[in-house]
Parts: sequence; structure tokens; C-alpha cells
Amino acid sequence: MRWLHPPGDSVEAALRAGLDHARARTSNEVARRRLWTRLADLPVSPPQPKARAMRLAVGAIFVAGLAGALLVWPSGAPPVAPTQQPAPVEAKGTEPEIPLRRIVEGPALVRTRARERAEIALRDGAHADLEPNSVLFVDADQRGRIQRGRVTLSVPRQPEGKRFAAFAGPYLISVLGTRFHVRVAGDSVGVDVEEGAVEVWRAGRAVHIASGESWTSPFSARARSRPRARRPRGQQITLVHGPAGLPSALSAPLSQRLSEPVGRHPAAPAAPASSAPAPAVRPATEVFKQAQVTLADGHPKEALDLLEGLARGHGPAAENAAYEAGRVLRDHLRKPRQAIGVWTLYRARFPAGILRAETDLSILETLVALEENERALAEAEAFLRRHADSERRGEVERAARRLRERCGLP
Amino acid sequence: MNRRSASSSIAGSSGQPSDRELVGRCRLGDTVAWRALYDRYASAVYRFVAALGVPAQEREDAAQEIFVAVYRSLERFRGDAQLSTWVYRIAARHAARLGRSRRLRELLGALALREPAPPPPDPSERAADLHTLDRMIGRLGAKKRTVLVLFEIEGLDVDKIADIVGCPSNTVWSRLRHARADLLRMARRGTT
Repeated sequence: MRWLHPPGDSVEAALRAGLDHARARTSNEVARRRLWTRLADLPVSPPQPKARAMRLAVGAIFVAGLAGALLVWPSGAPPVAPTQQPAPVEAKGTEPEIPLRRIVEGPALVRTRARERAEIALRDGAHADLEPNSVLFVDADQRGRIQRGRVTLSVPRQPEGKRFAAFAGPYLISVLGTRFHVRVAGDSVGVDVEEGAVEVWRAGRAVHIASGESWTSPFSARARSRPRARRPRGQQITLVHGPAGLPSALSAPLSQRLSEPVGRHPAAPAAPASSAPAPAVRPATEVFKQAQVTLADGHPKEALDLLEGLARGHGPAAENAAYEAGRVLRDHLRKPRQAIGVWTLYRARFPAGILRAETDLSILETLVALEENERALAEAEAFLRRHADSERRGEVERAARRLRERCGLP
Repeated sequence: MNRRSASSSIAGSSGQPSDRELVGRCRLGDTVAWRALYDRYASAVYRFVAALGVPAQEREDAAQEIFVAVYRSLERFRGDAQLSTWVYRIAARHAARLGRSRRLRELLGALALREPAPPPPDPSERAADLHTLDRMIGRLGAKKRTVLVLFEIEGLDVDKIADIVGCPSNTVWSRLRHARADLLRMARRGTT
């Protein structure tokens, strides 16, 4: 039995009605999607306060123990002669054990922590071995995108005419069959080929890396400054890429990146242009905020430039900017047809985007305002088919009815 | 009394990953799971902050703060309570903090002899009774308001509310009774 039900008088009835309305209240779709664009860019993994606290505690105990040992150290003891420290050798026995190969159903993000490894099955019989502190995104087609760390990809020989593809930031790695490592460090991408051959593609240009060769992406001065011994044939290939999936090199012209001489051989000197420091890249949220401020200051064209630049990137921020660019065109620059064009591009680029419903609605509203009734009707009907659960369905149904009347349809 | 459970009101339908599974995947940095968790709780969080009297123009920011807090606290979620209980607890804490800072702003505005600007109306809420109710609930004390909203609007049972607000069930009943009486008194007086 609910409180005030049945109500004793009109006041109680009004109060009950208010409570029922409040119970049914929900955020609108636009607000939810807008909020998601602000939440989607959170760090890949939530912080681990307990682990951090544990590390701090262990560190404190170690320091205290060291201090205590120094205090009780016998003063008359002969000083220990400094000994030559042996070169650090990676002890195979202490490496984290590789677990059984896991089949991860994409889309999913696989992340290994310190001292943790994972072996993931990918499509076409390939598998990826993630070393500690690596991040691999497995998409819906079971293709891998290396986002951070060092990943070894083993690819069986592909059938004639078929190639295995993996991604690392802006690069597509295409192979016929090989085994290679992927390292992600700083903002650089590098490839060491062990067997077979690998092609690294970006925007229609490719770098071919043969067995035993290495390649490092431009703007990775740190990686190139460390000479590496040539790996003998039969070893693995390594690809290195920037951590956030949005390397700063994106801001550099692609032609500059892929036309540079690449490190075909580890000992080959780095190209002068490639050792130049990468230009600073502002975070997407900062650019978006600047666009909003610019718009509020009454400079829609400048805001549009910023949004269009942002929209050329990736991720929710790019998607949000692509949508907002249409709104600037329609609401501030009074170019509704261009706005429809921009939103149509958005739909082509993000067919299942988080602002898809809002984009469909914006196109519909604009077409109604332009009195393009037939197109608007087609949009309304497409919206109803596509967004069956939309909370604005009723509104669009009413609009569709009115449009049918205007078009003289039953 | 047929109270709807929080899990049924804000969790997904069967076939969806469980809360525990989602949390586990979020801890591994799975952004898809994080999106699913957001989708599952976004409406509830928004409705809750709205019912607790957070003005329309601040609700989005409040919901963002709550989800960031949820994300940052995922490692601390032990699974002793339902995830919904835990999310409500974080949301209640944040809403209370927002309420305090808003009252402080209003006080400072009054001291500076400035009339605070009236909040713009929320275009999505055209029902006058909802505005009236929001204002009345906003006049309740924080503890009574939280209990009333969780029981009457969010539809949680008293044991779960006791877990969220951190007090015995009898105290929840007591606060609820007083909150109802206050609300009815305000409605009769027409003090909105």
C-alpha cells in the first residue's frame, strides 16, 4: 500500500501525483549522451588505492629496516670494496608465468598489471602475448589494437590473398604470417621483425619491414637514441606505439611521417626530421572547452574551425565535436543545409555513435524547419525504426503524423 | 507492501552482465563495461539528484561527479552490498555536499545583499506539481529528505535505505514518518 493512496483530499491527491511524477522522472537522452562524452575519457583503469597504499607501506618498511641496519652496523668492520655489478640479465625464471591462452569476446579491453601476463586468442588463428603493463583492445571482429605496453603477436601463415591485420595507434600492421612483438612506450611506435614480413600502413602509405629488421615511428627520439643490437633471424618482431591511443604524431602531417627514411636496420642512423620533438598536443577536452568559449564570445566561425579540427580525431570527443559542428552551422551561422551535410557525415562515420539518436533528431528538426516534408517524413520513419526504445518516440510519431498529413499521405 | 527492489529498478534485465561482473571488468579497465555500468545507473542517478533538490542546471555536473567518484572507488567495492546501494550511497553523499555548498553560496549572496538569480526552468519538466514537490522536498532537512526520496521516489526498502544512510532501520522509519508529516503539512499550507 502506497502512502496517500487512496488520497483523503485534493492536497493529498496532488502530493501523490507529484511523487508519482518524480518517480517516473528520468534524464533525457541528450543529457545522458552528453554526460557520457565527459565520462568516456576517464583513465583506462581505475586507480588502485589499496595497491598504492600497500606499495607505500612496503617502501616505508624497507626504508625503516635500512635505517635500522645502518644504526646497528658494526663500526669497526672493514669497508666493503665496491664490486662490479653484473649487467642486469633478464632472468627467465623470474618472469611472470604466462597463463593459458584466453579467448576474449570483443569488444573488450585487456590490460595486464605489473608482473602479470596474458595470452589472448585473436582472429585468423593469431594470438597476442601481453607483457606486464600492456593494454590491448579486442574489437568486435576479434582484431587487436595495441594501446600500450609490449605485445607479441604470433600469426600463422595466412591463406593466399588473405592478410592478418592489427592496429597500433594510427598504424595498421598487415602481415601474411609471422611473429612479432609490440611495444608501446612514450609516444613512439617501433617494429622489430623476427620472421616473415610486416607492412605498417597509415593513410594509404606503407613501410615494409622484412625479417630481422626494425622500424620505429617518427618522433620517437627516445627510442631511436638507444642503439639496439640486430636481432638474429628467427627472433621476434616488435612494434612500439604511444600509450593513449592518440599519439602526438597525429598532429604531424602524415606525409612527413611515412615518407621519412625509416630504421630498416637497427643500426641505421635516424633521419634528422624524425628526431625533431613532437609538437605539443592539447587535450581534446581543452580544445572543446575553447570552442565553447569562442562560440559564447560570438565567434562561431572560429569555434567551427576548432570543432572541425577536433572532429578529425578519434573517440568520444571527436564524435561530440562532429555533432556540435552541425549545431554551430545551423544555430549560429544559419546554414541549415550545411548542418545537415555535417550530420550526415557524422552518421556515416559513427553509424552506431553515442550521439546517433540526437543527430537523427537534429536532421529531422532541421528538415521540418526547411519544410522539406518528404525528406523529413523519411527521416522520422527511419528514426522510429532505428530507435524503437527512444523516449522521444512519441514526439517523433506525432511529427510523422503531421508530416504525412502535409504530404497528403494516409 | 510491494516495494520494487533497486536492482530491478535500475539494473538491466536478465541476460545482461551482473553488477559484480561489470565491476570486475571495469577494474581491468574495460571501457565497454564502464559504458554498460553507466547506462545501467545513469537514469537512477539523475532522478535521485533531481529529487534531492539539485537544480536542473547543476544536475549534469552532479551526475558527472558521482560517476567519477564511482569509477575511482571501484577498487574499494567489495561486493558486500549491492552495487545499487553503493551507488546511491555515493550519490547521497555528493548531493548533500552540493546542497551545503549551494546554501553557502546563497548565504554569501544574501550577505552581499545580492538577490540570487532564480534557477532557469528545466524544459524537460513541465509539470507544475513536480516543481512544487521539488521545492517542498528541498525544504526538508537533509536526513529526512534523503530517506523520503529513497523510499517514496526510488522505491527502496527500509533495510536498504538503512544501509545507504548508515543508521538502524527504526531510525529510517522514524525519519520517514517525520518527513511525510512535514511534507503533508507544507502541502496543506501551500508553502512552496
